[in-house]
Amino acid sequence: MKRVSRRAAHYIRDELLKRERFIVIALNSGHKIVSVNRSDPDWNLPGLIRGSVLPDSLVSLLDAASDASEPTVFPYVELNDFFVDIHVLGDRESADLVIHDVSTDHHNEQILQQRAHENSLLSEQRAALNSELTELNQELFLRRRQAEKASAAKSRFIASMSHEFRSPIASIMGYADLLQTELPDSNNPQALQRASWHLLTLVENLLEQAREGKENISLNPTRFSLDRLAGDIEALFRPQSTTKGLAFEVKSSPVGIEVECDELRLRQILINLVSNALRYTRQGLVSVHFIHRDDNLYIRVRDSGRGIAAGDIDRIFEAFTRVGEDTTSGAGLGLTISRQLINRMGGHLKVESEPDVGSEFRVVIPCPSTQAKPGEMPSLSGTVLWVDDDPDILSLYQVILENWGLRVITASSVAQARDLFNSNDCPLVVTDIHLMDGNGVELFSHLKVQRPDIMGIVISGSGVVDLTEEVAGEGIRTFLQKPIDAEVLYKEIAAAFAGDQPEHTF
Amino acid sequence: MKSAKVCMVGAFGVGKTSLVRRFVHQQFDERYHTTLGVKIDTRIVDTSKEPVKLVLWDMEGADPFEVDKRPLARIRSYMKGAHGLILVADGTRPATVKTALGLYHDFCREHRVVPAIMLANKADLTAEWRFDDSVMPDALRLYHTSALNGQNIEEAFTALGESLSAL
Repeated sequence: MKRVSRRAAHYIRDELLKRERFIVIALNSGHKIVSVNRSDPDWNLPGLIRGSVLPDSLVSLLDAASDASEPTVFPYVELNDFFVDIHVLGDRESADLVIHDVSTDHHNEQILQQRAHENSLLSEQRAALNSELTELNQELFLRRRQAEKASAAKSRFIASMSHEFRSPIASIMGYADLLQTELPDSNNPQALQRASWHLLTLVENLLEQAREGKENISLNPTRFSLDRLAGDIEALFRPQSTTKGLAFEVKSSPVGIEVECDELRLRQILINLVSNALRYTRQGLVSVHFIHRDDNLYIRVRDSGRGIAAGDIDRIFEAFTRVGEDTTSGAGLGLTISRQLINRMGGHLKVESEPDVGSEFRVVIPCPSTQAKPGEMPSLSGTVLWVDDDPDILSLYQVILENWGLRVITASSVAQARDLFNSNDCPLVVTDIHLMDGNGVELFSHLKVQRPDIMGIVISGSGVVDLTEEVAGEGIRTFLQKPIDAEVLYKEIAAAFAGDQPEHTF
Repeated sequence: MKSAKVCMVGAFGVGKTSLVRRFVHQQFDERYHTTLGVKIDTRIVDTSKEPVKLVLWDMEGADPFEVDKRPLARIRSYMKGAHGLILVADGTRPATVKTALGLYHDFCREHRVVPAIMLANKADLTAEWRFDDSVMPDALRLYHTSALNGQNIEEAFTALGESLSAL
């Protein structure tokens, strides 16, 4: 504002003094109050009395203003429940304090500031929580990755162990077959065979669980007698049912037929279903019926056990799940795996159950029948190089193949196989895929470079087909899985020596 | 008796008013009431040399994110002539450490270096505690304090009084 007249200045001052409240204090050098002037006689602040010394709180204002050549203003100073602006004029030697009551302005601004600060604090808290949430999410992500890695490692371990188990089981089964040939009147080799099937089923269950349904297993259809399968199931579970005092019945119709499907998987399904029925039945009956009709195999496993409530039917197929008050043994994998296998074999499984009455599991699997009896095995001729790092397997198949009239050269390593191949005329090489010092497929490829017309059969204990079409095209006739069905092996070897084109089972 | 102006400096909501209330009046109020302006309180502390009257300027807090710059202007005017500084941060809000240190460095640059301490307040909130002691300059003595239970408050204010008595 430019210079105004004295009259206008006085008017403004008077108007200001009507609206605002001031106290003006004059101080001497000893901070003693020389005079106190108030614009409103009713407004005073305790301690501000002429002749007294200025309170310490206000003296500290002078410290702040002591070097100032211009008036210094301290806004919003709380004095005895009032908020005032304090203007310091002069210095420590001679100062005037102009105290201006701004309590109303302060009150209004304080309300706004309170809200602003509360909002800001809430925002900070929200940001901190978001940050914490982000960290937690990252940690969860990492934990999940770790869990997935651990699970994958576990699956690899189980698969590896299952694979390791398969070779000795295959050996036991093969020798049991030989024993049966040598001791046709003894039941012992059959018992050994059945126990081996059972053990193999348990191993297969583990392997199946390790796959978690993520890999396709190979199905190896073979031809087998339905009567023999029914007999084996009956003989396998008879002791258990007798111990529990249960009636146990296994029936098969029509009699005397052979069917064609993956016998190992079918046995696995049956052992799981029947052992489950026996486990949950305390009294009464467990029955297993096989009926073959229209290229389908119908299996019915019925028990008079405690049954399953309707609401729990779906849960019994969840891995490691037990329904109700279950104190029985078992991993809780059998039904899960059985259903997976049945689905893969193109079949289906249905369950009907009534609590305290019993359960019935009905399975249908596509399974063509073959009326022809297995043909005779005419004597073969030729030389076979058999490569496997398991000496028992080597001995077993040496005996079997020699019984078929073949000359067998055995090698327990890649290096030995190369040496023997160079010094012998071996048109057919049968090799395990996993060898101590290398890979059977690579061995075969190497040998084929030396002799392009050789034929190969690859064997593995792994349930997973890991041969590619590319490899298959390089002269490998087929892939066989341990334990090897002797009839299938004979057929493949005979066809190889006869020069027949392979029917790949990759 | 020696009298010293001591400014409580820091971001809003760190507990400056609560610390002064605890130290001067032995009281604590759970409610949050933001300070606008300044309230001046006094308390005498005994030191090894002589009693010192601390004239405590409990000032409004700065905005840690400096969205509102008006408080900062007022704070700087209040800090003039301070003999000592009590820097206050909220141990559960890392951004408030930077605010307190920023005000301290500004003061030292514009005026002079004065005795100062740092209080990491709200130490009772252990679950939310996120104060990193290692970020503190060596020149500043650090105290983990709680206005709620009085932890380290007497020790901290007395230590500053001791430094001021030696001047």
